[in-house]
Amino acid sequence: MEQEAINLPKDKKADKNTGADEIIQLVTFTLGSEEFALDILKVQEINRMVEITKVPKAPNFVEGVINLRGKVIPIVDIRKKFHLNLKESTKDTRIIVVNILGKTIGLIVDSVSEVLRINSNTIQPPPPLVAGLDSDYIKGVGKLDDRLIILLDIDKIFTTGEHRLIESTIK
Amino acid sequence: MIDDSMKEIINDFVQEALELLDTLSENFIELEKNPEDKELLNTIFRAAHTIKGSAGFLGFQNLVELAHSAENILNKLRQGEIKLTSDMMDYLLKTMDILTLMIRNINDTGEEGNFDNAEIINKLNMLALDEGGAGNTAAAAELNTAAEDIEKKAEAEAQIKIQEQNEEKAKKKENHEDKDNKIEEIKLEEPLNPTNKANNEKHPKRKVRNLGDILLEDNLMSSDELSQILKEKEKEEKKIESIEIDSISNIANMEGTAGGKEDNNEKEEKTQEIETYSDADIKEENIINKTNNHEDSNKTVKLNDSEKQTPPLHLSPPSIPAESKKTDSAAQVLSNIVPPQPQMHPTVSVSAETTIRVDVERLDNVMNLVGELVLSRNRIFNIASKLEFKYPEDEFTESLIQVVSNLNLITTDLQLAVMRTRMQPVKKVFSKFPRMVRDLSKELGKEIELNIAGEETELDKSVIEEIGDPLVHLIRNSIDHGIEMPEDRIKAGKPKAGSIKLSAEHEGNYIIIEVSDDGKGMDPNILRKKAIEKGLIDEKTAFSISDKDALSLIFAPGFSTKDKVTEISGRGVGMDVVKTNIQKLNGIIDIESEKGKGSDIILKLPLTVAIIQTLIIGIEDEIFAIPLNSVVETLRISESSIQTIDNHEVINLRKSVLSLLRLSEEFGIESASGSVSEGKTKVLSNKEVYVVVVALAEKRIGIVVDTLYGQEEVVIKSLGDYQFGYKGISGATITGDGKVVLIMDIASMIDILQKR
Repeated sequence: MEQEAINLPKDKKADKNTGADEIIQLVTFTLGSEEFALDILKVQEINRMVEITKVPKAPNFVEGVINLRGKVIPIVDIRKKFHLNLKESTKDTRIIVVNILGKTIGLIVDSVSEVLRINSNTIQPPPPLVAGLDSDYIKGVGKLDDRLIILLDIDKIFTTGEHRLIESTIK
Repeated sequence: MIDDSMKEIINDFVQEALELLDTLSENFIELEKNPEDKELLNTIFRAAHTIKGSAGFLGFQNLVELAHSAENILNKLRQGEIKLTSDMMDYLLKTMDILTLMIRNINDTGEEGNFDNAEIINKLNMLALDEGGAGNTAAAAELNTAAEDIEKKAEAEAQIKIQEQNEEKAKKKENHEDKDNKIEEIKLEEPLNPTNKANNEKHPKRKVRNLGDILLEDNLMSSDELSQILKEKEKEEKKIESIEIDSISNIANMEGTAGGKEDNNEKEEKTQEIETYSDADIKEENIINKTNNHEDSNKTVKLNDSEKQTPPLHLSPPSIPAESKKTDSAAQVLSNIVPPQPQMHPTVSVSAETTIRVDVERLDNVMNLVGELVLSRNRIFNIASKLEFKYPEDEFTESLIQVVSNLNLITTDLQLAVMRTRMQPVKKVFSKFPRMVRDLSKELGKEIELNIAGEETELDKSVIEEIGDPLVHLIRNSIDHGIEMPEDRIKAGKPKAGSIKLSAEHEGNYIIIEVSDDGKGMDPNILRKKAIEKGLIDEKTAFSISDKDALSLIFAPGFSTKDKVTEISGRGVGMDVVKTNIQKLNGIIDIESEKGKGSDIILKLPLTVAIIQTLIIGIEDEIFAIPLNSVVETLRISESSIQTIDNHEVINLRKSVLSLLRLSEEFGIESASGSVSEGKTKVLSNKEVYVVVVALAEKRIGIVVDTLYGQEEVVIKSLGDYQFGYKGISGATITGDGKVVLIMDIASMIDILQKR
């Protein structure tokens, strides 16, 4: 479902050029009416919603854990994280499994749309406030025809404190 | 960085040596009981010799020297020249301890480390000599003094000859060496580690100096002569160094090593020349020496030393790297260097054929894979039974069921087989106790007999590693606190010698380890008083707890009945260690003690840690697993039978009070699942609930749950990096239907309840 690549405004052969003209690939997903994107290199896989095991006393944005082919990974409800209204899962709900700072975490999103090839110079620095989100973890905003895609910096999505909460070792 | 192949050889050496040392100290204790057992002596001698030989090959000179001194005594014992004394045994055992330390150090750092063994070596040598004298008749002693002068002269002459010979050989060898080095440059391609190189270069020097010192001390050689020889040595070494500088990195290292080895080799050969040359003379002397050992035999010792360790170094230099290049087990390599002396029976290396050493990591990996397989098996099993239910008469379902049950059998067998590979006999731990009991009882002036039973019982390596310390503390406790002094025992009408029994046996999926003594036992009232004194418990609680619970007070950190801290006990740490380690293994401790009759401490441990049996329980819609080895029993009670003491919910279980933990509260399940279950909060007084009684180490609590689903074998998956800052969950597992189920951590549950 994510194989469809949008044609780019600029020529593809710009691939190995200067940083400004680099082609980047993004996985886009939706939360409500907003469209977000993640660097494809950070995404390990995209799964359908599965049953999530709740973890007692976990931080509230951690939905629980799932079994990913024998590995137990935590699942974060990105709506909760972004303080958006909660929504029941639908048939479109997906879990994007990402690698954040070397750790595997699953993110619940409303739906996954496509994989975008986009020239990095079409991405503009983030405005101070987008969709009520802190701009810390927003890498930029990509403009594509009339669409606005918010490019997330997945490594910054959790504050250090939250990381510690997720990871915190037994002491 | 240590070169891989070299590292492997050293690792193998360390493993082998530690094993040998283990058996050695065991054998020594045995020997003390049967000092005349020739076969045993031979075994001991061979083991010591193997360690020395391998250490010599790897250039661990300190180790060799120490091992050699011990071997010397052993040799004399073996030949019946001296008799074993308790004093001698103490030193031999001490030597084993130092050797173990040194080898551990080699294991950790790859180097010998700085151990000053001069004192103990001296002592050992003295023992070898003194005992020789003492073992003889007074007449022989007189003869000694008479013969001594003649002896000394002969000896001196021999030494001078040796010296001359040495110099000549040195010159000859030097020429040889140049040629050899050139060959080395071409042949060697395997980079060897610099540490090894350094060792090789260092040790010969040291060795020469040692020899030189002796020669000087005894005025057998002038310092001029000596310095001349030393200069020659240095010249050789410089040559090697210059070659090194010329060449580049690896090749340089390698040449250095080769050079070093060559160097070493050469010196060893030289010393051996000395030996062969003076062999005849010295052998004659030896015969006389038997009756009158004096200082001179110190030198004979040195020379014997080189004789014994020379053969390994006689391997032609290119063959050494060739050997290490192959990843052949080093046992094989080492077996090649066991001196080909006819009277030496090859020891461990022969039996190495039937066993292989495997990296624990690899085994763990296999274990994990089998774990995955067990999970898949569970899932298929699950699906198959559902199918059977849905299509009872279907042909395919039936054959599926058959296949599945077959798969079930195979998986179970495979799982057992893999677990077996990780199993080790508990003997590994038990074997150090005879020694410990011997030493401690001697120190305390008590007479104690240690009876060991079931040491062939096998359990998982990880468990073996953890039970060593607790057992040490338990046995020390029995020796120090349990067993009375001999006179007190006689007064109490007991046999003079106390007895400590250490036993291990299987019981289902558990191993039961028992430490019992027939000493004075524990008095619950004294324990109560002491605990109050130390402020570990208040007076009210102290006298409200049962006698059995009072016995558990000994596990409180800081608890000790001793007023004075001695070397053996009194700090109140030991029992805490026991508790912590047993808890870590999800084990249970049970104490039984009768005043005046003795104490009995029973440890119940799981056989393995990776795959466990669990009890699956439910709270509301959530499912959790409780390790079954912590579960004592399950009860079905009415809410109304729950009482409250000091805001703690408890029930009365067979006359003892059991604290309860409501899992739904602890896990905040109602609130966590949001609006869904908000209506049905808290207790309905006639509702029936289940209480799972769990125990860990010496504590017991009851966990209140809604549903009991049953028992399931699960593979523990770590939650890895994600603990969510909560200790109550120790891990997760995947059940037959592919769902993640969290495994509760009983230790923290008990902790949580206590802190309330």
